[in-house]
Amino acid sequence: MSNTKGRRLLSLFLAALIMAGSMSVTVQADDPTDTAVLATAPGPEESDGTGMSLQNIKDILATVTYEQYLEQHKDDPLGKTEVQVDVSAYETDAESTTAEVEVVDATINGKTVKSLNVGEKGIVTFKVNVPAAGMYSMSYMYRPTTGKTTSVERTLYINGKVPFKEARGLIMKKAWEPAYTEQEDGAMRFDKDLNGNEIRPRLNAKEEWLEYVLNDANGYYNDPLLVYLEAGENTVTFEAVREPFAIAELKFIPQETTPKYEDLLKEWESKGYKNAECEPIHIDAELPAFVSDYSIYPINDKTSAKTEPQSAKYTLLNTQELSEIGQWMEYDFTVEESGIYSIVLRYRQNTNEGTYSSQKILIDGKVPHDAAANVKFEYSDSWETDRISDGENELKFYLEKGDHTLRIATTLGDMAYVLRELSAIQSSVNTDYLEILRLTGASPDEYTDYGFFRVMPDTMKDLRDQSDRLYEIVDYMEEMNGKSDLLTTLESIADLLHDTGTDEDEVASNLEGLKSDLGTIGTYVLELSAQPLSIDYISIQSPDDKVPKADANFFQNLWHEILQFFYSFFIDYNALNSIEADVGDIEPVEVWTTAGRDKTQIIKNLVDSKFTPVSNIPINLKLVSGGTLLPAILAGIGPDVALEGMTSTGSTITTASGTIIDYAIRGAVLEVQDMPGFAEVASRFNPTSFNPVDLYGRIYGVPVSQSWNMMFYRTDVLNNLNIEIPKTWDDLLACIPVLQFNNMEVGLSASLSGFTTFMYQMGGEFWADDGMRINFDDNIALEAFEKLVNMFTQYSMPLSYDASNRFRTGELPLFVGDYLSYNSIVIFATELAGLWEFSPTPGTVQDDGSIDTTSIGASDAICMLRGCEDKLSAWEFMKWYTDTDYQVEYSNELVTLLGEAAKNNPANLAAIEQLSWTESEYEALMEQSENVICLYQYPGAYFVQRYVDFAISNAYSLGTDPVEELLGYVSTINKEISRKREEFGLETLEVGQTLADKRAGQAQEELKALSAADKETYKEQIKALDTALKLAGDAKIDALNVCIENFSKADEKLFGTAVGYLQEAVTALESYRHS
Amino acid sequence: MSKKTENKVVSRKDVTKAQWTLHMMNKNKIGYFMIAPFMILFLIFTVIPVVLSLILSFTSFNMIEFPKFIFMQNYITLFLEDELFIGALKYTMIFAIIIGPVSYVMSFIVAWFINELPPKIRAVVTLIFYAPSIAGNAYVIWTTFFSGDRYGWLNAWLMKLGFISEPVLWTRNTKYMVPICIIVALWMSLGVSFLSFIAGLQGVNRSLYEAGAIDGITNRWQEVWYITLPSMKPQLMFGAVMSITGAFGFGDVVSSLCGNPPTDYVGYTVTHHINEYGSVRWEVGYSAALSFLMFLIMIGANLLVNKMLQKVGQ
Repeated sequence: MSNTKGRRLLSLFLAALIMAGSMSVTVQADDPTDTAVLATAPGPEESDGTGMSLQNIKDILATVTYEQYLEQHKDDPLGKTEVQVDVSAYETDAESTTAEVEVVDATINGKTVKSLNVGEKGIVTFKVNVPAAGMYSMSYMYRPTTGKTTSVERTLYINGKVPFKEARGLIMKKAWEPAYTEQEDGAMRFDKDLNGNEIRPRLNAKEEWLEYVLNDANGYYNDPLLVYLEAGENTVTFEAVREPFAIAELKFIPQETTPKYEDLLKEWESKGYKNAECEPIHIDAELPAFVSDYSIYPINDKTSAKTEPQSAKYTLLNTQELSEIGQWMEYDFTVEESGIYSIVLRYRQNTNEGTYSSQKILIDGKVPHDAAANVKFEYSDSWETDRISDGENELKFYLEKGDHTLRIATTLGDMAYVLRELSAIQSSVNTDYLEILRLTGASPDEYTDYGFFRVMPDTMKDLRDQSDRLYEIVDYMEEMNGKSDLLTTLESIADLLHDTGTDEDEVASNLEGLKSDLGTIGTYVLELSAQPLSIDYISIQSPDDKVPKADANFFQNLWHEILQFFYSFFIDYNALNSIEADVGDIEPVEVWTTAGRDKTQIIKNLVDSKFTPVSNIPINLKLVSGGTLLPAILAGIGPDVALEGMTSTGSTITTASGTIIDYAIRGAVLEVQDMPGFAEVASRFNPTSFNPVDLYGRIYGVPVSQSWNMMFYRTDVLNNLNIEIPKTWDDLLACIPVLQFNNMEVGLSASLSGFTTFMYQMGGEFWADDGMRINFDDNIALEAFEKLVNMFTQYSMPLSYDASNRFRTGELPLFVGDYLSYNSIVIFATELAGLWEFSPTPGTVQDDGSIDTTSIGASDAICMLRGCEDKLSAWEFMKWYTDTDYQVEYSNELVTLLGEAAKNNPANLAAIEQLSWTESEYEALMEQSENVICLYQYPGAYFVQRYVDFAISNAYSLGTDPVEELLGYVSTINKEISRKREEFGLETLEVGQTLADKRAGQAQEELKALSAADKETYKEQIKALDTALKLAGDAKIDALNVCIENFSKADEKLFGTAVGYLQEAVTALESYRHS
Repeated sequence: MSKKTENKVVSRKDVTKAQWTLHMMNKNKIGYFMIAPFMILFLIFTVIPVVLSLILSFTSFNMIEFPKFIFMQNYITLFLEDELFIGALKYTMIFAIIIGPVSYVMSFIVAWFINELPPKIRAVVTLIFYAPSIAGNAYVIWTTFFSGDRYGWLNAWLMKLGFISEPVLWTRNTKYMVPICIIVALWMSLGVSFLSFIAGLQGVNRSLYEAGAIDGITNRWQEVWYITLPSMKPQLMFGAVMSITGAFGFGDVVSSLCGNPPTDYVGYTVTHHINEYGSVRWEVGYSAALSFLMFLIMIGANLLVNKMLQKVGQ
């Protein structure tokens, strides 16, 4: 009996298998930027400065680290006196100060002082006179002068030199003030939407004076940094990296010491301070007075019934979160009774598994004692309530009666040492790896005797040294935190380094492992830099008071969950509706997007808080899956507005992707060039951005995103090989021998984008005769194509390669690709932070000596669809969506939410300025963007890419002549173009015919249709025309012009149409010429 | 009444045919209710789309505007003007003929060998052979193998062993594309038919083997031909239908390996062509005509195979 039962089960299983097998699930590639990656890059990249020439790179890479700097100056005494610098007495000579400066009076803390407004470019220098040489700390007051979301960044020079790496990219954060709304009960909270959910508040940059003390933006050093000043006169220079600011009260002071906690406790005892005896002061963490970043905003937590305030039905913003180094939140509170207090936080740290997150507490802007600089929050899955502690003691604070501010700031605490070491180890091992790579290539032969000890003994020794260092770190961390996965991994890396450094036969086989270990260390440095903490409320209470309960009991939580479940049937999570009770009868504008839930949420938040309240137009934002637009339009239930990316179906298996023009010629999209304010909207973009949605003057959308190619390069590798950064293709070809000798390669795009780049740089055009035929039979196009294919055949550049991977290992130190590759490299190759840059693509030298760096861009647009009734409202939305403010906020939100790998590529040029690119990156982007051309998408455009690919494949695989290959396809392409044009009633050309020919033919037809008498009369002119048409080139054009004149003079009316045709023929002929 | 008894159907004078049909339907209404769910879904999702497709094939439809009737124009273009279609048909036939019968026979042979194994081992080995099909699109692993990158497995090994010095673009080189697709298709082909063969082999009546042994069957081959195969006719039929539909519908593999469209349209099948016109060129009327044509071809192929299977065992 059990036998049949077993058989029954087996057959059931098989049946299920069959059904599963016969339902083939299409694999959809995930859009990589949609996955929520919480890791964020640690502050700014280290290499700033121009980074454009080899010398610059050498300088940057040669600066010492702060640790080495301290080593160098370990015998120098600490400064003892405070020296103030008068900022109004800056150095006025042209070399010392190139920035725009202005002396202004300012009031700081009630005093009137002189301050200096410094512009966002250039340098400004001050003189400092110190009585005795020594190590001083630097501090000053600063005030941001713009409301942009990016922080102020400067590089510091002491006596003309950057003292250490950490002096590059000093970050001065702005204070952001959330705008609260007064509620019915008088409390200050947030606005609510139609459904009763709270909306995120707007943040305004506070243009107030803040204090800056020289510190490390990466947080690797907990204490302020010291600089060495000579006795007597010194110069201090600030070089702008980003943003203008105002500076005042610049001073060099002796190193500040924070009082020790034990000493303070004794002091309090001796002064007779007692524990306070009053009601706890309750502060809601989601209502800070100021935050350091535009990206710190309140979040909703529904996981615990005890989070305050909580609702199962509404989305209430009840918690606040910190995570990156340098972020802080500040709260105001009032103390009734002087005394000793302890601070209780209801918090959750559920990200740094197995370890703690460190924060710094500042009362009234100062750290009260050293223990408060190192508060630890342990990992836990659930919410905790504890008195804050530094791991050993619960901390107490003495507070006088009155108003105070409490600031919670992220800090690395004990991890600072670990990260510094890991960073340094990684940097050393990377150099060693590159040395080895140069000798062996990326795939070394295990059985070759390279002779490492003979050729590079220092590298081998360094590997052993780094291995020892890494063992020390492991021991240190084990003492602090106990064993964990992280430590085991680090230990195995240390083992590998040791083996590689001791046994030279192991080097070749371990090279792969070394490369991936570098990546692992890089990722750890990134992860460990994050100090995340979610806070619900802060309670400042007497140390004697009991700590409130952390979480609700089982039944309360259960009830909370039941309520949520119940409400989930009523709450509409998909239709992300907007607010606004007083819009009257305006029908909402329906907007569809395929952007993924995270992005759509951002869009919705911004629409709710910024668009609808101002314009009074409600928006119905719907998140749909790719491919639904087409059937919806067909069924008549399509949206009013489609955001970018909707016109492609999103499938990777079929290439079915429509462009907006495809939809437009079928009447599904409405024209917008006549909408009010179009000219102003158009000025926001590179003028050619409209080309992909422009069909003979009818414009069908507004560009939203745009990307183009940039050249990415490894600064360390090029530095190592002494290669200057190529500016022209000839430069690039010149450095290929050097690279290939060292087993490295260069990456180009073996497809339409590579081809069109060459074509346009050489002065060619993609379309001929206004889109009636493809221009591939033109000499320039053929030359460009040959040049492209030669790159792969003659110069052996790889045709098919994975750019990110090879860039990371260093075997492809240079490649030309879409500038958004930045996103994947920054998150993928974390160990390369500071070791790579991008710059404009190489150009082609023109006859007059200038360099044409044209690059072809791709852009996507937002469009208004047929069936939209309220066109003006939809247009208002489109205008707002593509405007600078929205694009900046949206892009910055993306980075906040999804990390550094989610940088956006807005088409709006002004918006790019406010994204988190460094100044040098921004300049490089803008330089290239001036030379970006977007192509028209005439009917039949989809047909071109494949033939270019065929031609390249055949030329490469079969060794055929590239020019012949391409020419062979021209008539097929033209045939399809004509076919499509015919379908939509546009004028077409015969295969092999040019417009000039056609018009000339039409003119001759006209002439043939004349009466015999007229033909006799004008026999001369007609014959002249026939002769003219037999000529070629410029002679033909001149002859035709003569004919036109003749006919016009002879009889305007009779030859009117013919002359018209001839004029068009001449224009066409002129367009074939290459000026 | 006597006159009509030559016809096997007895016709009555008191009820019309229609009334009689209704009466019988009423009698068997439980049966009808039971097949109703399936029939309704089948009608809506299979029969009606086929009919609609036939209707659309007489129109010109660009996916957004309402279709316009152009009657036979699509078919005329298809047969007389479309160069790509001839090429597509050629490759479809190549793939169908090589993959169809070969994979069919392979499935049977493998099923037969597996059948010899003891039951538990048989289950495991079946799973191993069937795994490529269950895993959906597992064939994309072949893209790594045949990648044109110098680190693609085949390239890397050939370069290491010194056979080639530059990476070869396997899937974009017109010489290699068809063999590669055939290899991958055969690897994937042990599908549902394979399972049905195993089931069928289990279901053969044991006593027939004994009877055969008595009647003079001398070796295993004769046993297979005269006894096993005839008893498995239903499974063979099923397997044949699956193979044929699979072989004619072969397109996804080529797309993911060699791109869409593949270089110089080598390996470009009718499925691609249908997709091309339907999704890329937005000419749904034409691709409906193509699909209908394929439909007829497949029915023809099925009938042919059916006739051939009748001959099994003789």
